[in-house]
Amino acid sequence: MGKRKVVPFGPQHPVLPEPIHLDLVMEDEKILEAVPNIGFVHRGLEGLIEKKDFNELIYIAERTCGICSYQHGMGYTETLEQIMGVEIPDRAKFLRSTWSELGRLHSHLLWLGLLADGFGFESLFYECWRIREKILDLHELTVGARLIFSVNKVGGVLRDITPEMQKTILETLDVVEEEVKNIQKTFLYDYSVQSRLKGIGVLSLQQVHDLGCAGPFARASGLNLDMRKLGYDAYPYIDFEPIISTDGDCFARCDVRTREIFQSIDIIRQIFAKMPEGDIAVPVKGMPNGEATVRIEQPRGEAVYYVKGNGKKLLDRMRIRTPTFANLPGLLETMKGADLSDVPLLILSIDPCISCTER
Amino acid sequence: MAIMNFGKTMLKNLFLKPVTVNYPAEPAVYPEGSRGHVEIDVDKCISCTICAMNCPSDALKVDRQAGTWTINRFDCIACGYCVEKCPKKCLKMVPGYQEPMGEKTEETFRRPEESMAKAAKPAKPTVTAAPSTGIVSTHNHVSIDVKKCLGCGKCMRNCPNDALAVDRKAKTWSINRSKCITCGLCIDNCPTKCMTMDPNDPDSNGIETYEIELAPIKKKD
Repeated sequence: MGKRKVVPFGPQHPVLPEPIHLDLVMEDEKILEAVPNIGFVHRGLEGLIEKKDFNELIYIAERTCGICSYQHGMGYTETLEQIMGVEIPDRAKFLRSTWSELGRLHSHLLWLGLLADGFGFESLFYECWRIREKILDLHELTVGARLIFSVNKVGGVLRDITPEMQKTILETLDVVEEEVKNIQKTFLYDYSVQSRLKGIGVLSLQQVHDLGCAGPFARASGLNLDMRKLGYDAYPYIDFEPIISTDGDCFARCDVRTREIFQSIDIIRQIFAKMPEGDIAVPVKGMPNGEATVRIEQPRGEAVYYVKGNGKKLLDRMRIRTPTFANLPGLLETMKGADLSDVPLLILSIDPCISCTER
Repeated sequence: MAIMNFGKTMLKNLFLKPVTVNYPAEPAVYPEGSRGHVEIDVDKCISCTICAMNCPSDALKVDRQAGTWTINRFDCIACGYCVEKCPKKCLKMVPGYQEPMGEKTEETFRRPEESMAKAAKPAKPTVTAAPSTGIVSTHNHVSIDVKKCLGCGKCMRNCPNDALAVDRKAKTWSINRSKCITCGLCIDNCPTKCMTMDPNDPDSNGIETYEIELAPIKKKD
């Protein structure tokens, strides 16, 4: 029996894109317990509702996170629309779903790159981010910015995707699909990658369910949980099934996310095939009075928005529950009994976004 | 076997040109609708302050007296909300990101003398009204043709500063001069064009109430 030690991990660490601090209680090379500590990037975004009117807050809600920024703005806007009883045009719904899926594509490609960097495969990391750049160019083409979309407004969207843009998007997605197929082979069939990912950080279906995990992290353990199946926006018209794996280890999480890339590409193709003509926004009058909750599926998992209005310009309360917040208990569970050298991989496997979590 | 999966990509990359562009030595290519920075057509600006009031990051400053429009490009988050809100459509987003600088500077645009002179009337002192919200209508003002007014209330609903009130039962149209920011949105939205922008000073700075005749609405035969 070895001597117990506490190894501090983070908030600055080469593998961490964002700051989280963990106190790892070690016995030899094995971790007995991990004690998290967050609060390094708290910005008080939810408190800004006391100063900014609810329309300006769309642009602030988007800045909760740089990666799932579109879905944050969309979730907040849809909550307001639910309070005010606004039914947006069908075309706006399809446009919102298109941008959601483009956001998922770039988020998953970013994560795959970070994972490759995490297990020390730098050229694979660059390859993933090279492909991701094409998706960012599509963002700039359709909304005018690479990451912060700013196209939502209460009652619809601000920009349309023209047929020429749709053609460009479909052509680019064909190229992206080919290239992702190529790197997928490396992620799933490469011997060294497998030896680094297989059997690491296993969580059973029961554990994932009890700890309340969300998103691809939960789906990798066999939990059939996808908020898109609730049928918001254009998803009722789209034919897709949540992607599930049963192994529950880091390899399964990587597998689920690579397959979700192809699913997103497929969903965008279906959206463009079924996109209706018509307006992209409806005029909205009045102020939000009442409260509502909306659940949407972000690239990282389920996000919950709660907004309470009082019939004035300034809202009473806004609350965002982000997927990383739900996945942190699962992360701590995977760490028990793991090696110190696997800690970076385990943290990456939940796709952490600490800025989201602290808001 | 999977050993040479990545080898092909690696070999290909040996003979390809770099994917990155040597910016800023080589110019970056932006798509048409890229939201790089805000530009103003200052000739059209009426200093209504709507952009400054709605800016989420408080990057804009508008001085109605001096006729200036000031932007701190380092505070600007290029969200495009001012462009959407501008009643005169004098703001627009254009491609090209903010260039790096040694210190945070502000950029000021001044309205041309002609447009200021058109709006301002010589030598009449400004009267500050008692029930004021801080904004004082100094130069031009909105006047109404009571014979044409339908009392539809579109002007009231579109007023950004709640300066107008239309009462169909009492047959009145009233304007709070101290709240009016002379943006002209009521005039743009009026279906009968019964309102005009008078280039003279308003008579008072309080609430003026006019009796309207509720012109009959024309029906299609």
